[in-house]
Amino acid sequence: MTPVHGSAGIDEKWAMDLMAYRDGELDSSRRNEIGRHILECGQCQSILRDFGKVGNLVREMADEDASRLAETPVWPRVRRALAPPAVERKAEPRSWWMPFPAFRWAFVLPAILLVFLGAILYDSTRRAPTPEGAVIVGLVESPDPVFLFQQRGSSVTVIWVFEPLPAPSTKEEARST
Amino acid sequence: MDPEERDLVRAARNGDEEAFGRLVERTQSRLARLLRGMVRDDDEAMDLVQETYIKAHRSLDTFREGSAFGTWLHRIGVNTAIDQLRKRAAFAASSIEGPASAEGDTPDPAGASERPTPDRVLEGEEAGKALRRALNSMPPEHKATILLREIEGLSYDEIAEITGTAVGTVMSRLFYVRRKLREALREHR
Repeated sequence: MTPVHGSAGIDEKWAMDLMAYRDGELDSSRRNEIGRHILECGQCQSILRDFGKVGNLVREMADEDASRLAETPVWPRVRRALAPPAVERKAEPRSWWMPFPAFRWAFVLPAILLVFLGAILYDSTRRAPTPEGAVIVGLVESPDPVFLFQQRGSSVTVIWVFEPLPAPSTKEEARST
Repeated sequence: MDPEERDLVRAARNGDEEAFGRLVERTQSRLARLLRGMVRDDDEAMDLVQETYIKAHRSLDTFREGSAFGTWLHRIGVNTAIDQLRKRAAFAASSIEGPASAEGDTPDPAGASERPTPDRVLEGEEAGKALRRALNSMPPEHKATILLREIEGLSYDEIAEITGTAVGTVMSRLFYVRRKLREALREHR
């Protein structure tokens, strides 16, 4: 049997084999060879003891540190983190009023009416001859458009009532107007 | 992989959230211990654990049934922690405060350094500090290697699979870390 390390001391290759011996990573023949040597070599025993001590300290340190985390449940956190896209997907396809089509019109009709009234008001205000320096302060709902103007910087209110033109009786009259 | 775990993985792959939840509960303590050992911070470790499970959930389709779920999960966790430690190192390097000091030198908000633990009873408080300081100064890949060996008791082959390196690299990293930690312990004596 060849000596496993010389009198000069332990080189890196040999120390790595010692480490592998401790970790149970050597084949049986090499393991036996090193095992026999260790029984007689104080230097190798010391290295093995130190490796063992280092391993124990690392484990104790890790156990102590991790003991604070042991009670923390992880799954609820992970489930919450995974959940948002699924919740959004669920909410997306159907609205609450979808099964009741009549409800839709309850929202859509007033919206159309509002747009329509807005368009009429806009058109009327554009066509109404506003007195100089006056601003429209109101519109009265009546068969004929009625506008309330107020002069800037004064308390005078002007009320304009627009009477519709009488409808032409014949096609000629309509053309002449 | 034991039959129950295999069934849970199959169910989780088919969209069973509760099955995935059970896998989380079965594996979380080991994963938390490993990642806590790597980042040395409770909150950061829990964030990493959560991130690991989210990544695992999203890539369940890539999991091969023949392999061990724990090994696969550890690979995701270790890579996530290594990325995090690299980001932290880059931030520390670019910060005007300078590099982050070793854990042994800084006040420990969780009070870990104040508690009596077996290592301090046997080796004294300074041994624990010296070891933490030495471990903290290791590159992330080296830290992962020693923790996988000492905490998880994994073989060199398994460590190589998790860290995506050759067995020879695992051996040399382990040897480097153990030598450094041994020196750190000897220095404080």
